[in-house]
Amino acid sequence: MDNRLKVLRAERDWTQQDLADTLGVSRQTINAIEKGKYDPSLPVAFKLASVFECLIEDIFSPDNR
Amino acid sequence: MHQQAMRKHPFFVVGGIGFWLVFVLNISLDFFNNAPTTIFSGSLFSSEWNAKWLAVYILFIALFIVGAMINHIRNRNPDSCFGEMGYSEMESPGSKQYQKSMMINAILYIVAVISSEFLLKLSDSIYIHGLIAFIPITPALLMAKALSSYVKTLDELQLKVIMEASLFSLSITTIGCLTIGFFQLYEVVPNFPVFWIFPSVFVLFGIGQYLAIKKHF
Repeated sequence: MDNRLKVLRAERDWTQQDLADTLGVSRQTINAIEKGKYDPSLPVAFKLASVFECLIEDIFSPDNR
Repeated sequence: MHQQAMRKHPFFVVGGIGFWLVFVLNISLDFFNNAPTTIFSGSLFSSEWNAKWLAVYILFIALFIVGAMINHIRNRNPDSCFGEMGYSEMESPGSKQYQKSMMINAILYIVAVISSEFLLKLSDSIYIHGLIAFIPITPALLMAKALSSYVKTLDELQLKVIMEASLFSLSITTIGCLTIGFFQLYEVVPNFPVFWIFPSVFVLFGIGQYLAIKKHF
């Protein structure tokens, strides 16, 4: 899946660690999601949507490659 | 891979130290086996076959300790040579405690295995020998407990890494045991000491974890 996590995080001037602490996951997990190496579970995806105050579809989209 | 980086890679460091450990241990054990008046004339050290496998067994534990020490040093200094490889340990609130606990218990395990050799000489009672056999089990149980506590502090991706590492370790160990079992059945090799299974599970788990981290992080 493609995602806009890095862009959304940069817009808020948050570090990966800040976002990881908010979500209760490790910084490495945030890094893996941003790089597209890992697709998060639904609970984490909903938490992300809640943190960025948007829909899951606004963050994640099907892989176009 | 760059030659400079290859020399610094943890596997090359561990492999190099491991090679010399096996070399020195084999020479030492051959010496003890050829000296029947020494205290090493019984049990684990009693045959050349057992002595060779004991060397491999201690190598597994030694590799584990060296790996834990390398992790410890690297974590203390994130800008060290290991950082250049892009390899990163899984960060969690319990990771430092886990590494410390595993390193201490692995050392205790080696001490327990070797000291039980000495204790066996103190009595001929089969019951006492049975009790002595439980001595190395205590640090082994503490290692399993440390792993269990560590897993509870991990997030979903880290749990996936642990699962892949466990499957890697489990599959290689079981196929290895099956192969050795057939070797024994067809009398290709004599009796094979099964105590090496525990350390090999942990060492293979470490390798599996390394590979999974490289894949996901």
